[in-house]
Amino acid sequence: MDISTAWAADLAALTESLDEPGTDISQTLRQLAADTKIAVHSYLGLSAILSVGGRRLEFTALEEDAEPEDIRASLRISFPPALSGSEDPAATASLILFAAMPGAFLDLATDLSWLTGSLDGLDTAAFVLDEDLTVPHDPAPPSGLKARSTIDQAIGVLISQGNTPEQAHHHLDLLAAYTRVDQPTAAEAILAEPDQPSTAGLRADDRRPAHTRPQPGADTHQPPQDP
Amino acid sequence: MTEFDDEVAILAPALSFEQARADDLDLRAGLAGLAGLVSGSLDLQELLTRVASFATRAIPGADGAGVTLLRANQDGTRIEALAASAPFVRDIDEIQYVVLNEGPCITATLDRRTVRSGSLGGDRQWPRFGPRVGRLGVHSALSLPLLLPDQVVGAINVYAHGKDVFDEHAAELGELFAAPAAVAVHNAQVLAQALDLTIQLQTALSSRPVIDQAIGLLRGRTGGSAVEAFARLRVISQRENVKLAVVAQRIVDEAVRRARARSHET
Repeated sequence: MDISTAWAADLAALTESLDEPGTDISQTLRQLAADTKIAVHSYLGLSAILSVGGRRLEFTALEEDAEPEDIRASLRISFPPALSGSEDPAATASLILFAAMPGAFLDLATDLSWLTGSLDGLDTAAFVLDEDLTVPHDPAPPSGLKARSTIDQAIGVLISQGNTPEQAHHHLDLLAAYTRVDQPTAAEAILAEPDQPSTAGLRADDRRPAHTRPQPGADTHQPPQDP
Repeated sequence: MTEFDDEVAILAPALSFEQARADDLDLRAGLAGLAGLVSGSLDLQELLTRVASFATRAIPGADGAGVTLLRANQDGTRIEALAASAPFVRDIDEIQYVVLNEGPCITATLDRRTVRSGSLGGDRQWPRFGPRVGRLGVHSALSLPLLLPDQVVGAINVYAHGKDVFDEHAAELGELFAAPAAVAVHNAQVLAQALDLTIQLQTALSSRPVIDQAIGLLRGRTGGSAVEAFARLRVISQRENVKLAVVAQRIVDEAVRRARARSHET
């Protein structure tokens, strides 16, 4: 299976967060791929689409030499929060399996419906055949998780300086707007000097933390006013 | 003669009609159990235990059964005993897989054929396993490989305390049960792994933000790197034997509480 470097790093970070000795999300992914391939010989790969706590994760891992345009069959399995054990009632989780042969998942979907019988939330509606014949996104995009990590760490730095979470988010928004960069870049600036004493806000230039001060030669426009 | 009677006659010409019919009904009951196998939960061990119980019911003379699967891991493929219908089967599995790495199930899985013994204590196929299991009072074994078209995925091991319990007829019934059981077990395993992956990703995705915030908090306090802050979190987690996400949440909650108190004072 071809897991791009970016996704491998993300999966390693997620495995780290799981904090379960012996569990490696990449290995779970590889095992699922290997066993699906035994059941469906023309298996090409899978996409995972998850949303929990307002965070979204999408990734695709195709077999080596498989191309998105080879996909002729798909099976989408949607797991309800009750089954996946998520405490977030709005959490969503779907896995989409791809194969090269048209109709390749028919037997597997039928068997799974037969096997799961009365299992709550996994009725026939949970198994959707051949409606996802394109991968939902670029299989190897730049990692979004790393950017979210950077932002969350910067929020942590700002909280350590006495800001409430709301103030910390506001501070980061202002910094990004003031320096005309996106949030991850503003967060990186904060993390570059994590022990730099900050102020409660950005009302006056002399109270502004070092990472918000314009660099020599930079555009010296006025920062937005902190309400 | 009905279609059902034809099947019984083909299956067991040497048996009395009543016995063949009773065996056939048991087999059908065992096979029917495979439908709806994944009910209540998707716990693989639980559903394999159910398969072991269905096998005990489907195969005449069986006192207990176990299911083992071939599992691929980073060190290669190995045979794992995952479920047993009775405690004595678990004891035999321990001797077979953990202590001796020898026995009928290992033979059935590696050779991809049904293996039968009516006197384990004196069976030369397994000179170490046989006598030990015989001393436990278990003398008959029937091991059925779980075969997919071009792959063996595991085996069902059926045991009985008496001698010569499993004849050819029992082996035939066992094979009739093992064929759909192999497909059911494998597909259930695929579904269980899909759910495992989903749970792992969701759990990690929901705990990552607070872990990152705690890393940021520690970096803000000490000026260290993210790697150093994470290592510190891990040390606290291990020292207190508490999950990383719980430690992180506690650190963040405490800092937020202080920040809010300070915010109210000003």
